[in-house]
Amino acid sequence: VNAPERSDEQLMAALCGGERRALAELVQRYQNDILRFCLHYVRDVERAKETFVRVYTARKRFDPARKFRPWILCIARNLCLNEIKRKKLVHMESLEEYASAARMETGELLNSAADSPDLQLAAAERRAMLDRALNTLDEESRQIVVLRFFERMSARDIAQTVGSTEGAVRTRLHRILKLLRKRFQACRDIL
Amino acid sequence: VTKLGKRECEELLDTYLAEDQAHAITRIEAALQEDDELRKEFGGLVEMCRDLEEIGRQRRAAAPPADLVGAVMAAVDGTRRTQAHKRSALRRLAWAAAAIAAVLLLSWFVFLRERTDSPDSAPRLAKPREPVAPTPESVEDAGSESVPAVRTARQMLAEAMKHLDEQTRARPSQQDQAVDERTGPRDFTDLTLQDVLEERQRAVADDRARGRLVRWASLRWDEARELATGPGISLDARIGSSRYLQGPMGEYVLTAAVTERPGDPYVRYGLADRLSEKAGAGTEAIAQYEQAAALDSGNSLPYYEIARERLEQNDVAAALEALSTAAGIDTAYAYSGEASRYQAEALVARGMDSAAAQLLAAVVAGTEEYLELTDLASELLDYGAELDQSGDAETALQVYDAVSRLGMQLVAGAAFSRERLAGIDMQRMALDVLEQLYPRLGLDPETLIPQTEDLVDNILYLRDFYNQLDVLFTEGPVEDAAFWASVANTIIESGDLALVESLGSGP
Repeated sequence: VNAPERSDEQLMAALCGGERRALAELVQRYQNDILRFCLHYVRDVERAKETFVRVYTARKRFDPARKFRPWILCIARNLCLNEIKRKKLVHMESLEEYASAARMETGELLNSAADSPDLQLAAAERRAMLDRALNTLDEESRQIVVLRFFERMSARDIAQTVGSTEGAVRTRLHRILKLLRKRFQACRDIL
Repeated sequence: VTKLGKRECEELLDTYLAEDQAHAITRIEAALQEDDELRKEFGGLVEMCRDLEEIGRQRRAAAPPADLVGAVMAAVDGTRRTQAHKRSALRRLAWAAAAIAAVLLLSWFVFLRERTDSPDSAPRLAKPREPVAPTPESVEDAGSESVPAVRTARQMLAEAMKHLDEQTRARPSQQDQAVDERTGPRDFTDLTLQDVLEERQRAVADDRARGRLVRWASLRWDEARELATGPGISLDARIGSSRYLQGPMGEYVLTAAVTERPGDPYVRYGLADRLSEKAGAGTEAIAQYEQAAALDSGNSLPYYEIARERLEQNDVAAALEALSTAAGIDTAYAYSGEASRYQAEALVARGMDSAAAQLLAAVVAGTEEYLELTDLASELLDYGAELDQSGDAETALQVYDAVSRLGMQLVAGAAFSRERLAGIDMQRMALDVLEQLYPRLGLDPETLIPQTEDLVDNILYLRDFYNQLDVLFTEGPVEDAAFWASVANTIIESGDLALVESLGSGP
């Protein structure tokens, strides 16, 4: 019988107690999330690796009363922000690059097979415009969008990650959607 | 399909945004199929949410698979080896240092004996600590393009902020704002005045304690909703709960409060804020901000909010008019006192001990307002940048100047340190962009120096203030409940800045 899977927080406690294997398990569990997050911001695998090294070096500072995922994303975010400041690089991987990479790898479009080709094309164009509108947002707003819609986090977890309150994040999300709709509309009008 | 009203759709959208609940948006989509009006109002937003989800899904699918375990473990092993090496080196260094110290002590002893009869052997006073001086690092950091005088002023500013950050730990930092849930062993209703006081004392040296205070002073959405809709809850407590109710529920509570208290500018201002977050309600929000401004003529803040709404509506002329009206008022404030009073009522209604709730609301007063104020400044500066990018640098300058002025008005009018801190931060943000814009418009950046120097003074004032406040909380009479009740009352009624001054130890 397999032992029940330990929670992230239990793994952190084990890591603090000197169990190195716990770190390997955490890396296994979160490497895809963290790599994706770092690629969004700095296109840099090194930052993902460094995030886990920081988890190790800062393990004693982890507050077991808090959730692990927002904490590690907060570390990744801070490392990416430092890197952006260092390189003066403010860039999110564009959807086009991701989508073309995916198409090359999987050999298929990522739309639902039930959609007609016309609808698929219209939706793809709409998303490409929305993606461009996303790039006009300020850094913090973009992060909130990434965490909420791409990483599918709750407002409460986002608040822990970006160092804000749940209320402020919810308010911010409403504002961002309003702003995006306005800019998205402007993109549509131009086209 | 259950037919939904507009309010229910707003609530569902809010739930979906806050908690990623797919069923909420599915229900809205079903309702939109049946109702043209709803489709017109929510169709675009819902489609955008779905598109964002799809973009996220595509990115997740397209991201390369990670295999970091080996690399991370190797790096960690390297870190451990380095640490072990450092520890060993430190031990060697410690022995060497001890040996050198022994030799020096011996030499000093011999030297003193030789000079015992010398007339120059009187002890000297220690040199007083320089309040703020630029360090070589900050000189390096300052922009090389700046003229020297501007550069020096900016260095002073950076140093002053560093002192404020490091010495007072008073800024709403990440930990301060980490309001997730009331974690920890303590039951909310068991919290005592003593607990709050001890946590505040710990907060002097521990940011996490400050975060816990904010958590204790917060309500979860479900708790706030229960207060807002429950029977027998006072209007004050309902208003207090509204700050934790985003979306339509918050709007509902505040609309009812405005009906009952039409002359209360705080409530009116709160309702305007809620409306400003709602798609398509900008004009309604402006009307409420105008009424708030009419009720409180000494506060310029509503006019800046109006300007933001107008800029969002692309009505630049009306925005500049609002900014011009704001410029004619000397002071601004964000009602942290009123918010704390209502917050304490809500905490008591939720079951917290009254004295604990009062002190808790007092010690975290201004935290939310700090965030709201700096958000407002960021948005105005963003609009300014948009104007600049579109070639209208003159109008951008007016918007940046306005943000800077709001900062000064807050410093002049705020009774709460966190509001004043927001004023300082927004002036710094504005100075950053003004310094870049001035040369392009043929203006002399040196004219910004007096403002920068004023800012340094204000930062130093605040730094001293926070030191005094920490002394009060660490050395005040711990057992004297009446004293702390009076402290809480003074903060809520007159502001924390007045508290230190009223105790006769103002900086």
